[in-house]
Amino acid sequence: MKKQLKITLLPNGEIKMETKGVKGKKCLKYAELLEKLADAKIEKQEFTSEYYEQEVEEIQQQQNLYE
Amino acid sequence: MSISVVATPFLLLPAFISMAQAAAVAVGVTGAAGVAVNENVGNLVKNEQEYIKMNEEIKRLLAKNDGKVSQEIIDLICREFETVFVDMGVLLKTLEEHGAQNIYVENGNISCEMEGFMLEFYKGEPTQEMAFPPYRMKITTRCDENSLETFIEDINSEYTMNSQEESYNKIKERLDKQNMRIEEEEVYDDNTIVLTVNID
Repeated sequence: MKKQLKITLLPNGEIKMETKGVKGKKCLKYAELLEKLADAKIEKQEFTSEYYEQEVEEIQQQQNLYE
Repeated sequence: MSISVVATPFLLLPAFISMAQAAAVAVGVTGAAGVAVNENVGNLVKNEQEYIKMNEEIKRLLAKNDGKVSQEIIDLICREFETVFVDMGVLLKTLEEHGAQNIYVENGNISCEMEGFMLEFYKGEPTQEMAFPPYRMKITTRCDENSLETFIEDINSEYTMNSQEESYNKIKERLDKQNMRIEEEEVYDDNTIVLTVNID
C-alpha cells in the first residue's frame, strides 16, 4: 500500500491529517511533522485499527524473541 | 490509515470560540441588553430599546459634564470581546482587506476605524497555559447589537480564511524544502483544501 499523508485545511482554520499505509508508532512522527509544517498544535489524535494491528505484531515478535 | 489528527494553527485561539458566541457572552456580561444577540424578534426590539436608552443616558451625562466626555460615558460605550485572533500579520491583512482606515500599530497593539466602528485590538500577557494569547477587541463607538454581530461575524470569517491561506502557503513551502511531493491537491466547494502527500 502506498504511504501517504492526507492534509485537510478547513475553512475555519483547522487542519486535519490522516496517514495511509503507515503502520504502528511510526505514524506518530507525522503528527509532529504536521505541527512543524503548519506552526500548529495537536488538539486531538485518534488511532485507527491499523495502528493497533501493528502493535499486536510487534508484541508477538517480542514474545518470539523471549521463547 | 493508522492515525487521524486534528491541529489548530497558532494563528487561531486553541480553544476556538466563535465570535458570535463571544458577542453573545459579552452582551450578557455587560448587561447592555441582557440577552443573547439576535435570538428572536423580541430580543431585537429589546436591543433597539436598550440602544435608545443608552443614547439618552449619554446625553444626560454629557449635559451633566458641560458636554465633556467623561470616563462614565466611555465605560458606557466601550465594549470588549474575546477573539480568536492570534497572529498580528494575519489580523492586519484581514483589517486592510475589510477596508479598515487609519490603522496604527504600537507595541503589537492595533487601532483602526472600520465601517463606522472605532476598534482597538490588544494582546494579553502570555501565561503558562497560553503562550500566544489572542487579541481582545475593544469597540469604542456606539453601535446597535445587530450591526455589531454582523460585523464581528464578517471579520471572524475573513480572519479564519486568511489563516487557512497562511497555513496552506507554509505547508506547501515547507514540504517543498523537505523534498516531499504533493501528489494531489483538491479544493472543494466549501473551500476545504486537501493535499495528498507521498511519503514513500
